[in-house]
Amino acid sequence: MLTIADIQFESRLFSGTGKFCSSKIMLAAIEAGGSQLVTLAMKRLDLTAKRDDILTPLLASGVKLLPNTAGARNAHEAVMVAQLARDVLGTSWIKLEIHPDPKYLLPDPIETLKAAQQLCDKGFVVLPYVHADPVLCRRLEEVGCAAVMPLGSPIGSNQGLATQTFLKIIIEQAKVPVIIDAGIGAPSQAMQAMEMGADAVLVNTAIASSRDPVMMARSFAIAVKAGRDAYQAGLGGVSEHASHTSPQTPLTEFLE
Amino acid sequence: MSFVDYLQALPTERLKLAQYSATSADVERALSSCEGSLSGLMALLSPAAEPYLESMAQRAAQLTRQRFGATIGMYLPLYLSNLCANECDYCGFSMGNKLKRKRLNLEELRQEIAIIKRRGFDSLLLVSGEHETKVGIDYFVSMLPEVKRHFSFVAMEVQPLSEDGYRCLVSHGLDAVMLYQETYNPQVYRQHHTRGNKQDFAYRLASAERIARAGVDKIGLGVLFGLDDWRFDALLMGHHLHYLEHQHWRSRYSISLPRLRPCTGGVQPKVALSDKGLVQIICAFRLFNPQLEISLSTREPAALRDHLYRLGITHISAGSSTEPGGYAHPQTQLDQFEIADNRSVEQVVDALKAQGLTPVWKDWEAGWINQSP
Amino acid sequence: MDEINLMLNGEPVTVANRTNVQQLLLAQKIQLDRVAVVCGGDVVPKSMWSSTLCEEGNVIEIFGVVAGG
Repeated sequence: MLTIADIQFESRLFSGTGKFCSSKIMLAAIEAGGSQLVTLAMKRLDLTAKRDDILTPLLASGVKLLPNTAGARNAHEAVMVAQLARDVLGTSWIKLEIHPDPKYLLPDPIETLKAAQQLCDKGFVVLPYVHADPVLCRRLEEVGCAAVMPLGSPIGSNQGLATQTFLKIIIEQAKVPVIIDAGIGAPSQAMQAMEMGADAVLVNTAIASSRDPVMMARSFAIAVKAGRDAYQAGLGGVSEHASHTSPQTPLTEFLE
Repeated sequence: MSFVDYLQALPTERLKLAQYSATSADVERALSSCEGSLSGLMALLSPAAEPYLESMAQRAAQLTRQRFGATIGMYLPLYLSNLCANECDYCGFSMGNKLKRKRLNLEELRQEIAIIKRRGFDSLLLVSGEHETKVGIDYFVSMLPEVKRHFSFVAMEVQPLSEDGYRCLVSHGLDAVMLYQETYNPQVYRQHHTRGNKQDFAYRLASAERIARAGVDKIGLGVLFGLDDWRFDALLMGHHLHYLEHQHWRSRYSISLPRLRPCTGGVQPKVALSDKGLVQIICAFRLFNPQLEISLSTREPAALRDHLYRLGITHISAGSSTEPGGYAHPQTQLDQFEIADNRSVEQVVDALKAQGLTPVWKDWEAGWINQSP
Repeated sequence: MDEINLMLNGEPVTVANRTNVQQLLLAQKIQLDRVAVVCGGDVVPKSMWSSTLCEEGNVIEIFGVVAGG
């Protein structure tokens, strides 16, 4: 069972709520995928438009809500958004994301670390979205983040685990759960992340933008479970030692 | 959780059983991917790994070359004092032993330094017996600046100190601390350490964490192999290393592998570590941790040392004296332990070069490092 | 002065003097448990809404929850 802060999760598939064509399909997909943690964003209300209430059904479904700080371009704004989210939702959990770059939406490591420090000091349960940077993840852990959420590839790009080499290092080093976020475009990629030892994955675009989000969510759930099982069962090593390409000088003959 | 708590919580009996029931399949799995895996290390240190020693050695040699290049770091111990307030039954400095006790003064230190510098060394290991009152922090602080004037890298192997003590020595230029637990088995530890501060197993065990917090660049762990079952002691040292690398990731780590030799009158090893066993430990640790530094002293005989360099050793001493003042005035009765490789520095260097290895005398210059506020 | 002028989510709004934040939200037909409020760059916690009076020239922002990843 995955534990973040003091909350346990049976499902290691976390879901985003964006980009669905209706909240009805979004809810059905979350249910089909079995996610117990779903993300939300905060936005200034358009007082003139009719508001689509996604909160009521989400609250009714019993999933844990993880508001994010999307839209914040620096630490100050992110801390503000986190406080707003806590005020509305009554949760101190926050997915910290700061992307000043409008094209690739890549996270700003400096502002993220700064905001993480402040939010942890204020008692938030902070899950920062970051580039797959092992040192940054350690620094975030040191300031008290409850998990780290390194990206697989640019958000919404469906490119999969372009950062694999660094994700492996992060997973090896982390003392908090590692949730691979962003870029996971196919169940096989989610499975690969889980086989590597990731604690969970967060998927949004790949499910929301598929032809059948409900079926895709179910498919992700199976892949995440399979990947986790394979990790726990212990993958067979890729054999290197048995196939040397050139004859070698024995190194231990002197012991005979 | 401190490592003291970690070790206490470790189900050691079950782990030991698991190590001795490791299978060849476990070893094969570990051979292909052992990096960072404690279960892999366990398999590679197990009896089941013995038939795989050549494969382990090949892989270890390859990893060592890949990480460190064809080089061996050269250092020399300088014994500051043989005063000791501990009774440890395996050690020549033990307080009950009748030998002339000596603590170098500044002038004697300068004489030693001059000789060591002439031989080309730039990396020094300061060693003393453990005598808190006569050879404590004040003494170290009084000697360290003189040493640091002449050596770019200075390590210390003395009694465990307080965190503030270490921090103070760092401010005087200390680069590394070697502190060997001797054994990770508290019962066995108690049997061999019968008087003095060294009896405090937990304080010694927690030292590496204090050293790391004090900002020491390199931390050396070690077991005196033979005091307890060496396979299991090595595995627990692996746990310690693993713990430290995760908790204190800004430090570098090294291990030393001294072994207790069977000898008349002295302490008999519980399970003697053979040459083969020593090779197994070196290779297992290399596969477990490619970046780990492994040093080898002149306690091991020349012929064996020459075979071990390529397997994973990264640092060696040569032409060592293990008595205070021993470079300027070689005697023999003050030694901590007997030196098995009596070759001169030149002879050792020739042996390295014959294997295509380059001795590195200096690989560190503090320069602007640690100068920032 | 009977009335004061505010900026509410970017639009000018006129309300009666001594209107508190809670009354302002209710007047906008906003479901109270679905929003958070920022006044002059500071979060006004829910617990303070009824005791926080709007003042002339206040820039007030109302935030709600939307879908997101």
